[in-house]
Amino acid sequence: MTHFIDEQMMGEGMFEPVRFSGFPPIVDSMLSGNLEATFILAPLAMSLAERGKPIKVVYLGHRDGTALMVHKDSKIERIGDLKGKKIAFPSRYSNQYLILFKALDERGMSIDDIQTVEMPPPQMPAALAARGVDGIIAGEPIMAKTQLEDEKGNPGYGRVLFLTNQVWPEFISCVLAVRQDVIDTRRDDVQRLVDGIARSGLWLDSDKDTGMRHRMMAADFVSGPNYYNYDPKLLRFVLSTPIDRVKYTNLTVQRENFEEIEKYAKKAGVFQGKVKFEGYTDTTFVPTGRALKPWEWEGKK
Amino acid sequence: MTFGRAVLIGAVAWVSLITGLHAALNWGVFDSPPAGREARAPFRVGYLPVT
Repeated sequence: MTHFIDEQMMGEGMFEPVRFSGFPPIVDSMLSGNLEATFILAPLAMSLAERGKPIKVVYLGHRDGTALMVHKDSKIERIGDLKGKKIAFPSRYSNQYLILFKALDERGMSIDDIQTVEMPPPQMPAALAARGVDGIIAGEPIMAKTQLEDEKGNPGYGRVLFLTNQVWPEFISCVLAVRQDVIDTRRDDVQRLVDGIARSGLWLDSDKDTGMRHRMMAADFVSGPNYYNYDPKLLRFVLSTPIDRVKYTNLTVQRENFEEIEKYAKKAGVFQGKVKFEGYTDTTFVPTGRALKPWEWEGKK
Repeated sequence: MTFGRAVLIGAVAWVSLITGLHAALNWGVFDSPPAGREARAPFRVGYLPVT
């Protein structure tokens, strides 16, 4: 979104968004120097830093934006009903996997009480429709896709069991990770990117109580082929139903959030704790007291 | 200069002229970079189209 608004306001986008279809090629591109920065799963970024890869988490991409979906005809009504059920999740290095640990822990259960299956998120809606799995959990808009009528007019078949904010308030999924050499040599550019993301988030929510026009505009331009390439109707639904389904504010990197991720990442066996918060984050791009304003932009030129 | 040689030189000159014009007008190979972009290295940001 920062790229799009940058282009609209300045006539050129300083940052070049590069779309991928999976996290392994993103990691390869990042480590081989073909990306200066990337949005990446928080536990994956932490794990890479722990394995000595020179990257740092400098900001968040968003908060929440994940749901656990079950089939609308399923008898699963609450988290406790997941016992013995088969749940698909995107990656062991995703917070979507870790939130299962938290949700089950808090109900006196463990991950061993459910069957878990790793599955690429784009395959999840079909698996749920065919009842090949009992539940699916991944980032939006893929989960919402199961709730809406498809392009052939077939009705939705998914039902929300929980949104992340009902289990893990201020849930973090993707973070902005930057190569250390880029932080060292292009600090001003990283700062501009962080500020741009922050201002985009503020812009999105600056009219949320008066019609959510900005969110609807964002759904329309981000749905284009240069960005998400989804049906705008789906993105409008995700950004509004309910409005806190995904949030783009409170994106600073906070120790307590990451220490909680560490706790569940250790349980999941994807993080050993050899590197502490200071070792995998750089919080200097959001100094205390720094106040930014939303973009002053109301539509395409 | 023979007639054949004159035609050859003229043809080469014509093709060179057309090639140069094409490169300049269609490819912009002689254009100056826009102000402020001369030395800017790319800043590529990876993402997946999911939240």
